[in-house]
Amino acid sequence: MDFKRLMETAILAGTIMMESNAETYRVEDTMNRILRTSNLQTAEAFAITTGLFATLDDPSIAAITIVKRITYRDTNLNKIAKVNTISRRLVNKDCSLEEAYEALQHVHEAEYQFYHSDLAIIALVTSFSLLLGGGVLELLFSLVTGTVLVLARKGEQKAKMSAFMRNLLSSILIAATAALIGQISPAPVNVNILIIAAIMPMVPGTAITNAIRDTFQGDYMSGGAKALEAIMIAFSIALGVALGILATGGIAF
Amino acid sequence: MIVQIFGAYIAVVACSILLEAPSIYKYYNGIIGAVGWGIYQIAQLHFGLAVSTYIAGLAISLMANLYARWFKAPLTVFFIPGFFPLVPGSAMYLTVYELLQGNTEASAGNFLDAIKIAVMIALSSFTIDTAFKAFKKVKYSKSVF
Repeated sequence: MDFKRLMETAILAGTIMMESNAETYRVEDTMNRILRTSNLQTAEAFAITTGLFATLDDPSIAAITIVKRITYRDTNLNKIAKVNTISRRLVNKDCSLEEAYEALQHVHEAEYQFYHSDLAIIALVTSFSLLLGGGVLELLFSLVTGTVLVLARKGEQKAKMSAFMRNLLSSILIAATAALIGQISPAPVNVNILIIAAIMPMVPGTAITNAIRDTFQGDYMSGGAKALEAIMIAFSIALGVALGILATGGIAF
Repeated sequence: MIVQIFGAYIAVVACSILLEAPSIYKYYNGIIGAVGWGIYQIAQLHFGLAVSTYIAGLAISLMANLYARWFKAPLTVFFIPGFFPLVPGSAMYLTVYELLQGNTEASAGNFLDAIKIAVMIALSSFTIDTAFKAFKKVKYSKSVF
C-alpha cells in the first residue's frame, strides 16, 4: 500500500471538510478511519478549526507526518456530503485508494448555477422579513435590499476582499438602502425588519451554534475559535450597519 | 401561522441552496424547517424562549437524523439548513450593534439570548443523537458509519 498517498488522501479529505465547516469531531473521525485502513501501529489525526495534523508510523516504515494550515472557511454542505460518500466507500473497500484520491480532486465542482444562489439570497431575505413579522410593504422592499446584497456580493467577489471587509461593505450598503427606503417610502416601514432580514445570509447564527456544539463534543479549541469567529462576523456586520445608517443621516452612535 | 410556516419553508430551501446542500435534498430540508418553525411558534405560546427552542430543536434533530439514515448522507446536510430559522443570528448581531450604540444592558440581554438559543439547539441535538446511538446499539451490533 502506498502510505504516502493514503496520508495525502486523508489530509485532502480533512481539508475539504474543515474548509466546508464540518463539525471538528467528524473531520477527525473521517481522517482516522481513512488512516486506519493502513493497519499500521500508529494512525492518528488531530483537527482544530485552523489546522490539521496527522501521523502514520510503524516499525516497518519511516514515520509520515503532515501539518496542514486551514485559512479559509465557507459552509458547503455538498462537499461535506461528497467527501463523506468517498471516505465511506474507501473504508468499506468499495473503491481503491487512487480512485478515492481522484474523486476527492473533483469535489469542488459546483452544485448550483450562480444565479440560483442569487435568487436564493433574495428569497431568503424576503422570507425572513416575513418571519420577523413584516407586512406587505416590508416584503416588497426586502426584494430591493436583497438585490442590493446580491450585487454587493458580486462586486466583493470580483475585488477578492477579505471576509471582514465583505461583511462590512455589504452591511453598509444594506443599512443605507434600508434607511433611504424608510425616508422616501410613502407609508411607514419598519426599517429594523428590513435591515435584520437583509443581513440574515451573513449573520453568524450557525457559527455560534456550531461553536457551542463543538464545545459540547469536548473540542474546546475549535469551539473557542468558532465562537471568536462568530463574534468577529457579528462585529463586522454591526459596524457596517451603524456606518450605513450614519451615512444616510441617521443617528447610529 | 400558515404564512409563517410557508415563509420558513422558503427560507430553508433558499438557505440550502446558499449553503450548497446537495440539490436533491433542498425541498426535504424545507419540510424540516417548516415543521420546526411551526412547532417553535406553537411552543412559544406556552413556554419561554429556551424551552421553545429546545422543543423545536428536538423535532428538527429527530427529522434530520431520520433523513441522514434514510438518505445515507451526513447529518450536517440536513441539520444546518433545518435549524437556520431558529439559530441566533440576529441576537448575535444585536449584541454588537447595541454595544456600539452604548446600550450595554440591551447588548448583554441579546448576548444571553444568543447563548441560550445556541446551547438549547446543541442540547436538543445531543439528546436526539444519544437516543439514536442507544437505539442503534440495541438494534445492530455492527456500527454504521
